[in-house]
Amino acid sequence: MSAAAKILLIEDDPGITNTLQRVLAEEGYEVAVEKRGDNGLARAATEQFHVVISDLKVPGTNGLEIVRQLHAAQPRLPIILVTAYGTTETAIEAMKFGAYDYLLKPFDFPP
Amino acid sequence: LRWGRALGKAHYESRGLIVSQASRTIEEVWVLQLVSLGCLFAFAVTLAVMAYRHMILPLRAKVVAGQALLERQEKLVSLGMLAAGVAHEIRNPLTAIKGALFLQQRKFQPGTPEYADARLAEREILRLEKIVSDFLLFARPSELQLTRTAADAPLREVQSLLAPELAKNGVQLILEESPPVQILVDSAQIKQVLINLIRNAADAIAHSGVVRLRARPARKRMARSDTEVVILEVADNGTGIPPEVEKRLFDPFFTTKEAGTGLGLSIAAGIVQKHGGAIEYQTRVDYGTTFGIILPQTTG
Repeated sequence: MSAAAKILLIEDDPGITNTLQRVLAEEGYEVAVEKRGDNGLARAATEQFHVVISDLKVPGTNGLEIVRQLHAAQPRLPIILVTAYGTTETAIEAMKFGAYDYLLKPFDFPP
Repeated sequence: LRWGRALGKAHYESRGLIVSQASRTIEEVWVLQLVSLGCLFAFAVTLAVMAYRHMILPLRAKVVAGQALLERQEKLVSLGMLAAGVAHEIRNPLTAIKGALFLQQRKFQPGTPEYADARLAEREILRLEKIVSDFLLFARPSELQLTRTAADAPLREVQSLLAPELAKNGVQLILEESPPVQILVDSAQIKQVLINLIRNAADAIAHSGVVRLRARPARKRMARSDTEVVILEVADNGTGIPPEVEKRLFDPFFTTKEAGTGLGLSIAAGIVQKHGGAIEYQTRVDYGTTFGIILPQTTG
Protein backbone atom coordinates (compact mmCIF):
# COMPACT_ATOMS: atom_id res chain seq x y z
CA MET A 1 0.00 0.00 0.00
CA SER A 2 1.47 3.33 -1.07
CA ALA A 3 -0.37 5.63 1.35
CA ALA A 4 -1.91 4.92 4.74
CA ALA A 5 -5.56 3.88 4.65
CA LYS A 6 -7.79 6.71 5.83
CA ILE A 7 -10.43 6.14 8.48
CA LEU A 8 -13.19 8.57 9.44
CA LEU A 9 -14.18 8.17 13.07
CA ILE A 10 -17.53 9.72 13.99
CA GLU A 11 -17.71 9.66 17.77
CA ASP A 12 -18.45 12.24 20.47
CA ASP A 13 -16.84 10.54 23.49
CA PRO A 14 -13.39 12.13 23.94
CA GLY A 15 -12.01 9.09 25.83
CA ILE A 16 -12.84 6.82 22.91
CA THR A 17 -11.71 9.16 20.12
CA ASN A 18 -8.43 9.68 21.95
CA THR A 19 -7.54 6.02 22.52
CA LEU A 20 -9.02 4.67 19.29
CA GLN A 21 -7.18 7.30 17.27
CA ARG A 22 -3.88 6.30 18.92
CA VAL A 23 -4.49 2.56 18.57
CA LEU A 24 -5.37 2.93 14.88
CA ALA A 25 -2.45 5.32 14.26
CA GLU A 26 -0.07 2.77 15.81
CA GLU A 27 -1.52 0.22 13.42
CA GLY A 28 -0.57 2.54 10.56
CA TYR A 29 -3.88 4.18 9.72
CA GLU A 30 -4.60 7.83 9.21
CA VAL A 31 -7.56 8.80 11.37
CA ALA A 32 -9.85 11.82 11.05
CA VAL A 33 -12.32 12.51 13.86
CA GLU A 34 -15.72 14.17 13.71
CA LYS A 35 -17.81 14.65 16.85
CA ARG A 36 -21.13 15.29 15.10
CA GLY A 37 -23.02 13.06 12.68
CA ASP A 38 -23.91 15.85 10.25
CA ASN A 39 -20.31 17.07 10.16
CA GLY A 40 -19.16 13.49 9.59
CA LEU A 41 -21.51 13.11 6.62
CA ALA A 42 -20.32 16.41 5.15
CA ARG A 43 -16.67 15.40 5.53
CA ALA A 44 -17.26 12.00 3.97
CA ALA A 45 -18.84 13.76 0.99
CA THR A 46 -15.79 15.97 0.36
CA GLU A 47 -12.87 13.76 1.42
CA GLN A 48 -12.12 10.22 0.42
CA PHE A 49 -11.99 7.61 3.19
CA HIS A 50 -11.36 3.87 3.04
CA VAL A 51 -13.44 3.05 6.12
CA VAL A 52 -15.96 4.93 8.27
CA ILE A 53 -16.44 4.02 11.93
CA SER A 54 -19.46 5.69 13.49
CA ASP A 55 -21.12 5.58 16.85
CA LEU A 56 -24.87 4.87 16.86
CA LYS A 57 -25.66 7.80 19.13
CA VAL A 58 -23.90 10.98 18.09
CA PRO A 59 -25.21 14.54 18.04
CA GLY A 60 -26.43 15.91 14.73
CA THR A 61 -27.45 12.80 12.82
CA ASN A 62 -27.75 9.35 14.41
CA GLY A 63 -25.58 6.44 13.32
CA LEU A 64 -28.32 4.56 11.44
CA GLU A 65 -29.04 7.66 9.35
CA ILE A 66 -25.31 8.06 8.67
CA VAL A 67 -25.17 4.44 7.44
CA ARG A 68 -28.28 4.91 5.28
CA GLN A 69 -27.14 8.15 3.61
CA LEU A 70 -23.48 7.22 3.26
CA HIS A 71 -24.25 3.76 1.88
CA ALA A 72 -26.64 5.28 -0.67
CA ALA A 73 -23.97 7.78 -1.78
CA GLN A 74 -20.94 5.45 -1.65
CA PRO A 75 -22.09 1.79 -1.73
CA ARG A 76 -18.51 0.43 -1.75
CA LEU A 77 -17.42 2.33 1.37
CA PRO A 78 -17.34 0.01 4.41
CA ILE A 79 -19.16 1.55 7.39
CA ILE A 80 -18.76 0.02 10.85
CA LEU A 81 -21.34 1.00 13.43
CA VAL A 82 -20.36 0.89 17.10
CA THR A 83 -22.77 1.18 20.01
CA ALA A 84 -23.02 0.90 23.74
CA TYR A 85 -26.73 0.00 23.59
CA GLY A 86 -26.60 -3.19 21.61
CA THR A 87 -30.01 -4.59 20.86
CA THR A 88 -30.50 -7.21 18.18
CA GLU A 89 -33.07 -4.96 16.48
CA THR A 90 -30.62 -2.09 15.88
CA ALA A 91 -27.95 -4.53 14.71
CA ILE A 92 -30.34 -6.01 12.14
CA GLU A 93 -31.46 -2.53 11.07
CA ALA A 94 -27.87 -1.37 10.69
CA MET A 95 -27.05 -4.37 8.48
CA LYS A 96 -30.18 -3.75 6.40
CA PHE A 97 -29.12 -0.14 5.87
CA GLY A 98 -25.83 -1.40 4.52
CA ALA A 99 -23.46 -1.38 7.50
CA TYR A 100 -20.39 -3.59 6.98
CA ASP A 101 -20.31 -4.60 10.64
CA TYR A 102 -21.81 -3.79 14.00
CA LEU A 103 -19.62 -3.70 17.12
CA LEU A 104 -20.73 -3.58 20.72
CA LYS A 105 -18.80 -1.37 23.12
CA PRO A 106 -16.51 -2.09 24.86
CA PHE A 107 -15.02 -3.92 21.87
CA ASP A 108 -11.83 -5.95 22.07
CA PHE A 109 -8.45 -4.80 20.84
CA PRO A 110 -6.84 -7.96 19.52
CA PRO A 111 -3.11 -8.16 20.32
CA LEU B 1 -141.94 -28.42 55.15
CA ARG B 2 -139.84 -30.22 57.80
CA TRP B 3 -137.82 -31.77 55.05
CA GLY B 4 -137.45 -28.40 53.49
CA ARG B 5 -136.09 -26.84 56.74
CA ALA B 6 -133.71 -29.72 57.32
CA LEU B 7 -132.47 -29.36 53.79
CA GLY B 8 -132.03 -25.57 54.25
CA LYS B 9 -130.14 -26.07 57.50
CA ALA B 10 -127.90 -28.67 55.92
CA HIS B 11 -127.29 -26.32 53.03
CA TYR B 12 -126.24 -23.46 55.36
CA GLU B 13 -124.07 -25.79 57.46
CA SER B 14 -122.33 -27.17 54.41
CA ARG B 15 -121.90 -23.63 53.05
CA GLY B 16 -120.41 -22.50 56.37
CA LEU B 17 -118.16 -25.54 56.34
CA ILE B 18 -117.06 -24.84 52.81
CA VAL B 19 -116.49 -21.15 53.59
CA SER B 20 -114.48 -21.91 56.77
CA GLN B 21 -112.48 -24.57 54.96
CA ALA B 22 -111.93 -22.19 52.10
CA SER B 23 -110.62 -19.46 54.41
CA ARG B 24 -108.37 -22.06 56.04
CA THR B 25 -107.19 -23.09 52.61
CA ILE B 26 -106.54 -19.45 51.76
CA GLU B 27 -104.52 -19.08 54.99
CA GLU B 28 -102.55 -22.19 54.12
CA VAL B 29 -101.92 -20.83 50.65
CA TRP B 30 -100.66 -17.61 52.22
CA VAL B 31 -98.33 -19.54 54.49
CA LEU B 32 -97.19 -21.63 51.57
CA GLN B 33 -96.65 -18.52 49.51
CA LEU B 34 -94.63 -16.93 52.33
CA VAL B 35 -92.59 -20.12 52.77
CA SER B 36 -91.90 -20.39 49.07
CA LEU B 37 -91.03 -16.69 48.88
CA GLY B 38 -88.63 -17.24 51.77
CA CYS B 39 -87.11 -20.23 49.99
CA LEU B 40 -86.81 -18.23 46.79
CA PHE B 41 -85.13 -15.40 48.65
CA ALA B 42 -82.73 -17.82 50.37
CA PHE B 43 -82.00 -19.46 47.00
CA ALA B 44 -81.36 -16.08 45.40
CA VAL B 45 -79.05 -15.09 48.26
CA THR B 46 -77.16 -18.40 47.98
CA LEU B 47 -76.91 -17.97 44.22
CA ALA B 48 -75.64 -14.42 44.63
CA VAL B 49 -73.06 -15.52 47.21
CA MET B 50 -71.93 -18.37 44.96
CA ALA B 51 -71.75 -16.10 41.92
CA TYR B 52 -69.74 -13.57 43.92
CA ARG B 53 -67.35 -16.17 45.30
CA HIS B 54 -66.77 -18.13 42.13
CA MET B 55 -67.20 -15.57 39.38
CA ILE B 56 -66.91 -11.99 40.58
CA LEU B 57 -64.26 -12.45 43.27
CA PRO B 58 -61.78 -14.23 40.94
CA LEU B 59 -62.43 -11.54 38.33
CA ARG B 60 -61.70 -8.85 40.90
CA ALA B 61 -58.61 -10.76 41.93
CA LYS B 62 -57.65 -10.98 38.25
CA VAL B 63 -58.15 -7.24 37.85
CA VAL B 64 -56.02 -6.59 40.92
CA ALA B 65 -53.39 -9.08 39.69
CA GLY B 66 -53.57 -7.45 36.25
CA GLN B 67 -53.01 -4.05 37.76
CA ALA B 68 -50.11 -5.38 39.82
CA LEU B 69 -48.67 -6.94 36.65
CA LEU B 70 -49.12 -3.68 34.80
CA GLU B 71 -47.43 -1.75 37.58
CA ARG B 72 -44.62 -4.31 37.61
CA GLN B 73 -44.28 -4.03 33.82
CA GLU B 74 -44.26 -0.23 34.03
CA LYS B 75 -41.56 -0.45 36.69
CA LEU B 76 -39.63 -2.88 34.49
CA VAL B 77 -39.91 -0.54 31.51
CA SER B 78 -38.52 2.39 33.51
CA LEU B 79 -35.90 0.11 35.07
CA GLY B 80 -35.04 -1.10 31.56
CA MET B 81 -34.63 2.47 30.33
CA LEU B 82 -32.51 3.30 33.34
CA ALA B 83 -30.42 0.18 32.78
CA ALA B 84 -29.90 1.04 29.11
CA GLY B 85 -28.82 4.55 30.09
CA VAL B 86 -26.44 3.28 32.76
CA ALA B 87 -25.07 0.63 30.37
CA HIS B 88 -24.33 3.34 27.80
CA GLU B 89 -22.63 5.52 30.40
CA ILE B 90 -20.46 2.63 31.62
CA ARG B 91 -19.65 1.02 28.28
CA ASN B 92 -18.26 4.22 26.75
CA PRO B 93 -15.57 4.82 29.40
CA LEU B 94 -14.90 1.06 29.50
CA THR B 95 -14.06 1.23 25.78
CA ALA B 96 -11.63 4.08 26.43
CA ILE B 97 -10.07 2.20 29.40
CA LYS B 98 -9.71 -0.93 27.28
CA GLY B 99 -8.03 1.04 24.52
CA ALA B 100 -5.64 2.77 26.92
CA LEU B 101 -4.81 -0.54 28.59
CA PHE B 102 -4.15 -2.10 25.18
CA LEU B 103 -1.68 0.69 24.38
CA GLN B 104 0.08 0.27 27.74
CA GLN B 105 0.11 -3.52 27.72
CA ARG B 106 2.21 -3.59 24.56
CA LYS B 107 5.08 -1.99 26.44
CA PHE B 108 5.22 -4.61 29.21
CA GLN B 109 7.13 -7.86 29.11
CA PRO B 110 5.35 -11.02 30.25
CA GLY B 111 6.57 -12.01 33.72
CA THR B 112 7.00 -8.42 34.99
CA PRO B 113 4.78 -6.98 37.77
CA GLU B 114 3.52 -4.33 35.32
CA TYR B 115 2.38 -7.00 32.92
CA ALA B 116 0.60 -8.85 35.76
CA ASP B 117 -1.12 -5.62 36.82
CA ALA B 118 -2.29 -4.98 33.28
CA ARG B 119 -3.70 -8.52 33.07
CA LEU B 120 -5.52 -7.97 36.36
CA ALA B 121 -7.02 -4.73 35.04
CA GLU B 122 -8.08 -6.58 31.89
CA ARG B 123 -9.87 -9.28 33.90
CA GLU B 124 -11.64 -6.69 36.04
CA ILE B 125 -12.82 -4.85 32.92
CA LEU B 126 -14.31 -8.12 31.67
CA ARG B 127 -16.07 -8.50 35.00
CA LEU B 128 -17.58 -5.03 34.71
CA GLU B 129 -18.72 -5.83 31.19
CA LYS B 130 -20.45 -8.97 32.45
CA ILE B 131 -22.22 -7.04 35.22
CA VAL B 132 -23.50 -4.48 32.72
CA SER B 133 -24.76 -7.04 30.22
CA ASP B 134 -26.33 -9.22 32.95
CA PHE B 135 -28.03 -6.20 34.46
CA LEU B 136 -29.38 -5.26 31.03
CA LEU B 137 -30.74 -8.81 30.55
CA PHE B 138 -32.37 -8.63 33.97
CA ALA B 139 -33.85 -5.15 33.61
CA ARG B 140 -34.67 -5.10 29.92
CA PRO B 141 -35.87 -8.58 29.01
CA SER B 142 -36.52 -8.85 25.29
CA GLU B 143 -39.91 -9.80 23.81
CA LEU B 144 -40.65 -13.52 23.47
CA GLN B 145 -40.35 -14.99 19.96
CA LEU B 146 -42.42 -18.14 20.51
CA THR B 147 -42.02 -21.23 18.36
CA ARG B 148 -43.27 -24.78 18.87
CA THR B 149 -40.36 -27.11 19.48
CA ALA B 150 -39.55 -30.55 20.83
CA ALA B 151 -38.91 -30.24 24.56
CA ASP B 152 -35.48 -31.83 24.34
CA ALA B 153 -34.27 -29.61 21.45
CA PRO B 154 -32.99 -26.73 23.66
CA LEU B 155 -31.44 -29.32 26.02
CA ARG B 156 -29.62 -30.95 23.10
CA GLU B 157 -28.30 -27.61 21.85
CA VAL B 158 -26.94 -26.41 25.20
CA GLN B 159 -25.47 -29.84 25.83
CA SER B 160 -23.39 -29.71 22.65
CA LEU B 161 -22.49 -26.09 23.40
CA LEU B 162 -21.34 -26.56 27.00
CA ALA B 163 -20.22 -30.21 27.26
CA PRO B 164 -16.64 -29.65 25.96
CA GLU B 165 -16.05 -26.68 28.28
CA LEU B 166 -17.43 -28.54 31.33
CA ALA B 167 -15.47 -31.69 30.49
CA LYS B 168 -12.22 -29.69 30.89
CA ASN B 169 -13.20 -29.13 34.55
CA GLY B 170 -14.11 -32.78 35.12
CA VAL B 171 -17.88 -32.27 34.78
CA GLN B 172 -19.83 -34.59 32.52
CA LEU B 173 -22.92 -33.08 30.89
CA ILE B 174 -25.32 -35.87 30.00
CA LEU B 175 -28.56 -35.61 28.03
CA GLU B 176 -31.02 -38.31 29.03
CA GLU B 177 -33.58 -39.87 26.68
CA SER B 178 -36.80 -37.83 26.73
CA PRO B 179 -40.36 -38.67 25.58
CA PRO B 180 -41.60 -36.77 22.48
CA VAL B 181 -43.37 -33.78 24.03
CA GLN B 182 -43.68 -30.28 22.64
CA ILE B 183 -43.39 -26.83 24.16
CA LEU B 184 -44.11 -23.32 22.87
CA VAL B 185 -41.07 -21.26 23.81
CA ASP B 186 -38.58 -18.59 22.85
CA SER B 187 -35.74 -21.05 22.23
CA ALA B 188 -32.95 -18.50 22.64
CA GLN B 189 -34.27 -17.32 25.99
CA ILE B 190 -34.95 -20.84 27.31
CA LYS B 191 -31.40 -21.79 26.30
CA GLN B 192 -30.19 -18.76 28.27
CA VAL B 193 -32.08 -20.11 31.34
CA LEU B 194 -30.60 -23.59 30.83
CA ILE B 195 -27.08 -22.17 30.43
CA ASN B 196 -27.46 -20.24 33.72
CA LEU B 197 -28.73 -23.36 35.54
CA ILE B 198 -26.04 -25.61 34.04
CA ARG B 199 -23.25 -23.17 34.98
CA ASN B 200 -24.58 -23.05 38.55
CA ALA B 201 -24.76 -26.86 38.61
CA ALA B 202 -21.19 -27.17 37.31
CA ASP B 203 -19.98 -24.63 39.89
CA ALA B 204 -21.60 -26.68 42.65
CA ILE B 205 -19.39 -29.62 41.69
CA ALA B 206 -16.07 -29.34 43.49
CA HIS B 207 -13.86 -31.75 41.55
CA SER B 208 -15.62 -34.15 39.23
CA GLY B 209 -19.26 -34.92 38.85
CA VAL B 210 -22.23 -35.22 36.55
CA VAL B 211 -24.89 -32.80 35.39
CA ARG B 212 -27.91 -34.52 33.84
CA LEU B 213 -30.40 -32.89 31.50
CA ARG B 214 -33.85 -34.32 30.82
CA ALA B 215 -37.34 -33.30 29.74
CA ARG B 216 -40.25 -35.06 31.45
CA PRO B 217 -44.00 -34.55 31.09
CA ALA B 218 -45.99 -34.08 34.31
CA ARG B 219 -49.23 -32.69 35.69
CA LYS B 220 -48.90 -29.62 37.86
CA ARG B 221 -51.19 -27.11 39.47
CA MET B 222 -50.53 -23.89 37.57
CA ALA B 223 -52.69 -20.76 37.98
CA ARG B 224 -55.36 -22.64 39.99
CA SER B 225 -55.91 -25.47 37.52
CA ASP B 226 -54.18 -28.76 36.80
CA THR B 227 -52.12 -28.40 33.64
CA GLU B 228 -50.13 -30.77 31.47
CA VAL B 229 -46.58 -29.48 31.71
CA VAL B 230 -43.08 -30.35 30.62
CA ILE B 231 -40.28 -30.03 33.15
CA LEU B 232 -36.81 -29.37 31.79
CA GLU B 233 -34.50 -30.63 34.50
CA VAL B 234 -30.89 -29.83 35.32
CA ALA B 235 -29.72 -32.23 38.01
CA ASP B 236 -26.27 -32.21 39.58
CA ASN B 237 -24.54 -34.33 42.19
CA GLY B 238 -22.76 -31.33 43.67
CA THR B 239 -22.61 -29.77 47.10
CA GLY B 240 -26.31 -28.88 47.40
CA ILE B 241 -27.60 -25.50 48.55
CA PRO B 242 -27.08 -24.64 52.23
CA PRO B 243 -30.19 -23.23 53.98
CA GLU B 244 -28.70 -19.74 54.45
CA VAL B 245 -28.08 -19.48 50.70
CA GLU B 246 -31.49 -20.98 49.90
CA LYS B 247 -33.25 -18.08 51.61
CA ARG B 248 -31.70 -15.57 49.22
CA LEU B 249 -31.43 -17.80 46.15
CA PHE B 250 -33.51 -15.64 43.80
CA ASP B 251 -32.43 -12.24 45.19
CA PRO B 252 -30.90 -10.05 42.48
CA PHE B 253 -27.18 -9.40 43.03
CA PHE B 254 -26.89 -12.14 45.66
CA THR B 255 -24.00 -14.42 44.79
CA THR B 256 -21.74 -16.99 46.39
CA LYS B 257 -19.27 -16.92 43.48
CA GLU B 258 -16.17 -14.79 43.43
CA ALA B 259 -16.78 -13.50 39.92
CA GLY B 260 -20.56 -13.86 39.87
CA THR B 261 -23.03 -11.04 39.26
CA GLY B 262 -25.84 -12.65 41.27
CA LEU B 263 -28.28 -12.12 38.44
CA GLY B 264 -28.30 -15.58 36.81
CA LEU B 265 -31.27 -17.01 38.69
CA SER B 266 -33.19 -13.72 38.68
CA ILE B 267 -32.85 -13.57 34.90
CA ALA B 268 -33.84 -17.24 34.61
CA ALA B 269 -36.91 -16.80 36.83
CA GLY B 270 -38.02 -13.72 34.86
CA ILE B 271 -37.77 -15.54 31.52
CA VAL B 272 -39.62 -18.64 32.75
CA GLN B 273 -42.39 -16.52 34.32
CA LYS B 274 -42.91 -14.74 31.01
CA HIS B 275 -43.50 -18.17 29.45
CA GLY B 276 -46.30 -18.79 31.98
CA GLY B 277 -44.08 -21.27 33.76
CA ALA B 278 -42.21 -21.55 37.02
CA ILE B 279 -38.88 -22.71 38.40
CA GLU B 280 -38.78 -25.42 41.06
CA TYR B 281 -35.85 -27.07 42.78
CA GLN B 282 -34.97 -29.80 45.22
CA THR B 283 -31.68 -29.74 47.06
CA ARG B 284 -29.82 -31.77 49.64
CA VAL B 285 -26.52 -30.68 51.07
CA ASP B 286 -23.69 -33.01 49.92
CA TYR B 287 -25.99 -34.89 47.52
CA GLY B 288 -26.86 -32.32 44.89
CA THR B 289 -29.56 -30.13 43.44
CA THR B 290 -32.18 -30.56 40.75
CA PHE B 291 -33.64 -27.47 39.13
CA GLY B 292 -36.80 -27.81 37.04
CA ILE B 293 -38.13 -25.37 34.47
CA ILE B 294 -41.87 -26.01 34.40
CA LEU B 295 -43.43 -25.04 31.07
CA PRO B 296 -46.96 -25.57 29.78
CA GLN B 297 -47.12 -28.46 27.30
CA THR B 298 -48.41 -27.74 23.79
CA THR B 299 -50.50 -30.11 21.75
CA GLY B 300 -51.06 -30.32 18.01
